[in-house]
Amino acid sequence: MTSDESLFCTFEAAGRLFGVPIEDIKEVTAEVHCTGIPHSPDCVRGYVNIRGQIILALDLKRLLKLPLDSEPEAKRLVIFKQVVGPAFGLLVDEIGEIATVTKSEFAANQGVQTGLPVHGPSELVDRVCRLEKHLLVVLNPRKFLPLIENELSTKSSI
Amino acid sequence: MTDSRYSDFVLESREHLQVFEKSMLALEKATGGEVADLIDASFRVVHSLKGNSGFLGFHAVQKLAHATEEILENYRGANGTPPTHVVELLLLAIDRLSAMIEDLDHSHSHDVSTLLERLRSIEAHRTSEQPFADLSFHLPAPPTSVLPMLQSLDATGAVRGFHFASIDFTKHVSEWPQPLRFDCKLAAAKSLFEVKRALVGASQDRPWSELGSVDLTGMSLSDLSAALKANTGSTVEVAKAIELFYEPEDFSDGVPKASILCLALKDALLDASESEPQRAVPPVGHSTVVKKLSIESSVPSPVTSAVVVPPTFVSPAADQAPTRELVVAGKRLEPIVPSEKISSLRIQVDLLDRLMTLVGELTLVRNQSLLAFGEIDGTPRAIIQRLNSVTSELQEAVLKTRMQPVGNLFGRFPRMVRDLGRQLGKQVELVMIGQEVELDKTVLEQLSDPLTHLIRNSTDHGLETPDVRQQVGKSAIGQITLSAMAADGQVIIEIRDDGRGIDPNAVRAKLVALGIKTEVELQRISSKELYSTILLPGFSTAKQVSDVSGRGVGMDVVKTNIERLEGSLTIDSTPGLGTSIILRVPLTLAIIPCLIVTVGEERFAVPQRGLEEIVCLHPGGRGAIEHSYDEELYRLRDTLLPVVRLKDVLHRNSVFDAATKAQIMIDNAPKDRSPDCIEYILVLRTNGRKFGLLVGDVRGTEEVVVKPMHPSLKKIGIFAGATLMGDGKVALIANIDGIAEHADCYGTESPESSGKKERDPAEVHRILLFEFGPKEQFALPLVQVRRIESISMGQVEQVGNQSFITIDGVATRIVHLDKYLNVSACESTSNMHLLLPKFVAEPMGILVSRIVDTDTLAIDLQEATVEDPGILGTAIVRGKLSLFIDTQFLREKLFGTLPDETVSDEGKSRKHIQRSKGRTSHSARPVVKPHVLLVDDTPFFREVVKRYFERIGLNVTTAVDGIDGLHKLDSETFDLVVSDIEMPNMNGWEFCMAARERGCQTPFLALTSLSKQENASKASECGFDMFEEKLDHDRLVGSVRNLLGIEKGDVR
Repeated sequence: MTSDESLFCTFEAAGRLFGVPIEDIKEVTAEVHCTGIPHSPDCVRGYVNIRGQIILALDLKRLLKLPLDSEPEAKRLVIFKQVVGPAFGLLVDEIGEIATVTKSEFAANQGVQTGLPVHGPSELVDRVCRLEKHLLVVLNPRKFLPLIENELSTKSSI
Repeated sequence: MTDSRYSDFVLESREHLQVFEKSMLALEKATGGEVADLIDASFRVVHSLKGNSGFLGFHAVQKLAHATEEILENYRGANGTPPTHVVELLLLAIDRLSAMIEDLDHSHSHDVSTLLERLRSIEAHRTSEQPFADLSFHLPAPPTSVLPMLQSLDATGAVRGFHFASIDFTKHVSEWPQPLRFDCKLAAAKSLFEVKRALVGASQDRPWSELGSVDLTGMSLSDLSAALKANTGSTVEVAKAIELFYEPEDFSDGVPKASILCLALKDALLDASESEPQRAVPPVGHSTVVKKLSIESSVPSPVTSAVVVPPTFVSPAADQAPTRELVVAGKRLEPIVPSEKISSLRIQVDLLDRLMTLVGELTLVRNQSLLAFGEIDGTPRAIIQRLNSVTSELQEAVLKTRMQPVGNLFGRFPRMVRDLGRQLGKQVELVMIGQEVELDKTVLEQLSDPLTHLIRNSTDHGLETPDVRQQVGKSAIGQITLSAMAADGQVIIEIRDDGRGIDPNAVRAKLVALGIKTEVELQRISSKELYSTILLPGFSTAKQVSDVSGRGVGMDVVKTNIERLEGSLTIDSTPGLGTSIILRVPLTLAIIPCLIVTVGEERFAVPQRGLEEIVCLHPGGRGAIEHSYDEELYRLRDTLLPVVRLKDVLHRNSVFDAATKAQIMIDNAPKDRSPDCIEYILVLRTNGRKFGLLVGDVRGTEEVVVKPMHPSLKKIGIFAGATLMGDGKVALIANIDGIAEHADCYGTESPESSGKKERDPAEVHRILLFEFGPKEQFALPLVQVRRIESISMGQVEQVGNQSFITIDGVATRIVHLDKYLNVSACESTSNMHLLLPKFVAEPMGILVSRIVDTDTLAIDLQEATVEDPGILGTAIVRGKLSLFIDTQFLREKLFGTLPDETVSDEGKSRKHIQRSKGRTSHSARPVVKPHVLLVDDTPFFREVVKRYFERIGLNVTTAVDGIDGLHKLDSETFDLVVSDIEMPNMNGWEFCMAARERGCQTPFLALTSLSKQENASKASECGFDMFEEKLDHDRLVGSVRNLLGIEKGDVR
């Protein structure tokens, strides 16, 4: 891997491919039993116990307003490192492979449409890159929690 | 620069300084051997501090520590107690050292030179002195600082021409005021002694008392100088005398005299030094010297034992002197054990937290193992059980690591109180109890600010100044007691002062002035609730309020802090005797006892702190949720409890408004409830209010380890955190306050905050159900029952056909109900009960065969069911017809006539005359029955009171509330209106005012269960002529007669 290349952990949700920088990820678990948190925004699925630590699980499909029907239940939880945000993870359908993307590849894909629902929050998407089969949408996990906080405060102000 | 290398140093230094400070404060009341121990302890820590700081290159710290150490060194080895001013200076040094330690990066730039100089000068004087017990003064040289001082005095010139008026040394010593600077005085006394001896030329071994007085009148300076010179071999002793006079405030006529003596002595000294040329006076600019003079104001002399300071030394003059510094540090400090250090170890809190998490995880593994192995095989089972017990112990041990004695926190207060006391001119003694009680580190840390604030408050506002205290007959020394006690998984911390207390009237006045409460509301609140209003934000921030209430700004902040700790704060105060503030905080924030409840499939933990009781709503049982307007209520004994369904709270994101509540009412319509559904109501208390939380099931209680809510979800108010359950799943912990707020549920006032609550809702009564004969069930409102006695029929005595029993030394008539009422007779058994009714003056008791129960219910009194004059009416209670007994009827049957009026003559005549103007006097036409309007919303009371009136020959018309009453007033004429106060639609106050506005002149009598004391003035304001409490038959009848102007028996 040269300095030009970046590694991305990829995962699927609603049949689409997403990725986050691999250095942001702490671990991926199969423990997805959530305890729902009433009053929290839709995209918060609840708390998951990961070896004694309570992790806040977010639902990627709901975050991005992807279609929910005919989907398999989320099977994996991608947990992020503390530097990304305190104790949270992303519920995804399937874990994909590690994708290596170079800077030039990203540059070549500048302007490519994500094809994500337009009413979804666009700030979560960092970059886009066309891989062999899929379009890889690279997300910025640092934007997830602020989105939730924002949603909570706008709701409470109503 | 401050990196981890120094963090250990900082931590350690902090501890050192704490020990040092503690020892210094303890010195002030230590005696004998303790002094040496304390000095030793201080010396050791300062020494380590010096060594460490030197090693790490913090030279400023090192220097200061060194100077401090030098001073301590002098007092080591039972060399006496350092005088107060030395202790003071050492405390200053501690402060400075602390400041430098906390700001290591800039410790070099701290200017410690002044402090160092002061320390050194003390040290210099000290080393030049001998113990006081030794009266021979063979001193090597006069203190170097003396000469420049003298010179400065000289330079001012102002005093030069003065002569000694008269200095009688003996007299002075006895008249000295007695501030705490004993030591200083002693030094002075000693020096004077020397001077005096020099003057009279007495030999060294003559005791002071034999020296007699010296008249120095008219003696000039040179005379004095000469006398001194003639009589002393050395000038040293003379020079010492000077030391005394640097404390001008110690002398009522102060400076001039002191200066004169100094001057004289200086002359003597200089004369002497002429013959000793090596003692040349260095020229010193006088301004700097003057400055120095004030700094080095006193020179120590050790007091070797308490004997030197006889108690008679305390003269009456003491009060005028600035005696402001008696602050005593605790009862007695524990000996500072240096070996403790060896057995302790510093651990990062992070690591402890991690240990906690891991232990929690281990507990889960254990639980899973327990499930996995079941009871199949004996062997693994035994292992698992051991795992079980080891895990539990481990968890306990890890929890303990976080615990620290509250003494760690209390330790700072003696100093604070001492300084504050001095600053405010108050004498304060701080007593600390229960320092060994342990609390979680986090709780302890968060308690620090509130406690500091409260103790400041107590010292500042709570305690009076010494003269005020003495005026009211208290000891001049105010006492603040800070105590900690562990109870019920909580720690109770009490801050009690014996100061002036809080004036409830001032609080009331302010509450009204600020518009927080109305007069009417204030009448109903207890003193405890009244004091709690001080904690309201609006209250405490109002400046003028803090003046009258004696409690300062920021109490609301204290309260918030305590509540954040899951704790509570209550204030109790007796005006004139002091105030006590009680904090209850949990032992730890990490683990709290919770009730595990479910809603649907989800489990929730409800902290038990606010839980008062649990009510099971069983379809077959009697209570049920009732509806009132837009609220759901449960009738809990004598109060109406608003009920919130946890389900609704969880499902509705936004704070409940009227529309939401209405929707909830529709959704929860009774028809929807399945008949076999059992639900529970948790009766919760929050902020002094109660409400019911309806949950599906209660699974039991559990001590849960609290994990805070995710930072991004802090806005969700209804949860306090989350926890891991035994099965490894996460459960949310409910925040009771948050839920109450979310559900917009204001709740009822809790019973203790309004003692009259049970009597307020008019139609609800507590009644006693009992039996006499086998057939009937009788009822009597509890308010009419004085008490119930168990009696043995063997004790009953017969006189004719009357039976008596002695109760409280009084022969009491026994009422057999079958003799007076048309009811079944009772088979006498050996043990019966005797019901003693209230409001009956004569000794009588109703014989009862069985007490059925007490019940709270709305009495729907039916009047005509049973025709019997002794039965007020009937009601169906618990499915059974119950007869309400008229105790006044029985009383009349037994004792005949009614007793005399009980109303005072004064009231009688005044009221009567007042109202008889403009209407016909009824005593003039006694043939017509007086017409009385009785307004009461309660059928039961209406019936009872009506009967009272009819029995004395009145014509009674009834009305159900104020509006009804006004209608009746319009259509008929009355001689008297008797009105209840607490009524729906229009209450008694409004009714009376409305009637008076219409020009109604009829006398009004307020008849209520409200306390007379508190409401009498309001009653007269509204236009009532009299005020009587409900059901006191004799008083009521007396008052009514009074108002009607009828004599007893007039109409009968």
